[in-house]
Amino acid sequence: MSTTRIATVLIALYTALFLFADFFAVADPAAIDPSLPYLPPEAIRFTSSSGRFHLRPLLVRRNPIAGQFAAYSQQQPALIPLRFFVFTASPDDPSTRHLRICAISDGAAHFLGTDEFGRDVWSRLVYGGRLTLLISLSAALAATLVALAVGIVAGYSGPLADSALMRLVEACMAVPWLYLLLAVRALLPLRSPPIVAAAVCALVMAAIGWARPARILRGAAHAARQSAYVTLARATGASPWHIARWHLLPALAPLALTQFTVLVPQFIAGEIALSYFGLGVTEPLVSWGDMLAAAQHLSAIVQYPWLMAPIWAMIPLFFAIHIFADRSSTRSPLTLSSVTRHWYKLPRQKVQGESPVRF
Amino acid sequence: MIRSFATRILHALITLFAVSWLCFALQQAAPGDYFTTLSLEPGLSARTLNAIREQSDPHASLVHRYVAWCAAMLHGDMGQSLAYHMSVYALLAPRILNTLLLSLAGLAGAWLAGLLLAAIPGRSAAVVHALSALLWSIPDPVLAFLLLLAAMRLHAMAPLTLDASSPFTSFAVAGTFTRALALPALAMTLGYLPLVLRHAQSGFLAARIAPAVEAAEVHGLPPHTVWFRYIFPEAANPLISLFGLGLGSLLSASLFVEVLFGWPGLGPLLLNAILQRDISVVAAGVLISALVLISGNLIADLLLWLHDPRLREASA
Repeated sequence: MSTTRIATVLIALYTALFLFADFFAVADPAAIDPSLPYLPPEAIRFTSSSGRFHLRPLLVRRNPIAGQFAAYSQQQPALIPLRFFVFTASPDDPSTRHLRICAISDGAAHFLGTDEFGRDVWSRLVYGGRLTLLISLSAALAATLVALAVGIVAGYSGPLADSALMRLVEACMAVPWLYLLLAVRALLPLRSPPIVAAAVCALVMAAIGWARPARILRGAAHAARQSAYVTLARATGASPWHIARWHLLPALAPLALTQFTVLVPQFIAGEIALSYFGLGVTEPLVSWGDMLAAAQHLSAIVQYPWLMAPIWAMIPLFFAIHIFADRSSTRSPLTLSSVTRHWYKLPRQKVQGESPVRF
Repeated sequence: MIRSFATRILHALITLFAVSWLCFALQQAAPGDYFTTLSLEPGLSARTLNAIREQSDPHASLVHRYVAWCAAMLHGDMGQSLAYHMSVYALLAPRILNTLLLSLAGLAGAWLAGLLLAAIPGRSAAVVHALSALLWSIPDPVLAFLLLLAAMRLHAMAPLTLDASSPFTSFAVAGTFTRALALPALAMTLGYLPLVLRHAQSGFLAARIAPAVEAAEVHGLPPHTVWFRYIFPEAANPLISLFGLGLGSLLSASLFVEVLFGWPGLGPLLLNAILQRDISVVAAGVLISALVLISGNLIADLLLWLHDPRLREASA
């Protein structure tokens, strides 16, 4: 199996997980359970306590030791049959119900354990990943669009706009981007409603991330300007708008796509940093960075290593994204033009790209 | 040459000018001002406050205020930190040293390991390649987390909290200092290593088939001479440029690593300043980080000029 295929499968898995988060998460991410703090990941088994085979999986639920915080006895765990495809009501609004992949008779199975407040880590991982990806994808999209507009304007219009825009880009790139991210974030109010805070997180990253792609796209637009087809279009009296839309945009699209795939992992890392610092996503919303903020209690991550689940979830995702970024920088992905190229058996072009930049 | 270098410096100054406006805007746009916070001080009466306020002339135009701010900055007067009740300069100076030390340690580690690993020939190169691909797909924050986790597990190097005010006072402190430096520096090194490794590997690959290197090999020069006198100089140019460009990403990485490992650099201070609305500290920190980055790029330019006689010839 080629690495590209592995990456495709991984991306598909993550997409399904996040699209159907309500189904795959087994509990509400904000639902607390004071009786089960720091519960270790729970196993399932197929034999009953008497050793008989049991087709329905049994959840091994350890009993809390009375009088101790977050201590669970190894002896005689309760074996609770799992039920699949269950409708569960949400805790704060009984009228909304979610179809969950599985549940036990009174509550949820904690396959990845629980956190300090007895919230299910697996469910938080699924919902948190969804929000992290939503933020970073929308920020990357916005940044790429701005970069495309700036790149075309700077690369195609006169030298005045070009040098003005490029000085702005240079100023943005002269500050290390995490410093700039924090500086811009400092301008905005710290306490805001959770949804607003998440949107601000995306906005701030987009407001900073456009500079580098804009510089690269400007170079490509500048090169395209000197090409024969643009000269021809200008000679036939095409308006600048027409040239930008029908000649420059298609020429820059593959490069813009590469820049987009480079921005996504950078922005995921940015979201993690912001939320870890307490400047990003806040309760009751959950994101990966927000979950990792639990690591600020250093002793907690040694004692309860399952709290670090987002880290393990991130590595395959980043691996897949990097494969795609590499791929899209060497060949153009499936677009209309690549389909026609395939149709007419034309050779693939190598698109110039930049190696991903780490923050 | 003098001319091309002057253009470089001019560009750097323009960039610095733009960044200074950004920092100035940051300070201006912050909700409330110095006096709002000062008015909470119990020891100051309203009359004293008004006197100070009039002295500082809030009705001056934006340009005036900017010029005054720049002049103060050039004199090393970066304002007062509201949260710490001390001058921003005194607060930042030891922190900057610590951040630079960590960044330079990471930089040196990554370049040393990168160049050595990239020089490995033959079948082992595939192993190195796989290693760099693996490191490449782990984002910097995750890498730092993993290291922290591993270190806590091993109990070998529990992150030490250092006294921020005294970076280097005696040799006894230096020992603790190096021990505390090891783990964050390793995190920085591993984060930056794949970038160096990729560029160095491809650079060496191209350099080894260059005519000059082949000629040196055919003449029977010993391998180390070939490496140090022919292959390294041949491959150096893009690597020197990378050195200048990489400083920014290294500073960014150090911000997160510092917070995670409790290293008393700029990062934790800046974060606290944001959380406490101590904007003058934030503005000064951003300006200084930009200054480091810009001077790093200039140094890389200078190195390139020193290294490559073609550049000198062309501009002479």
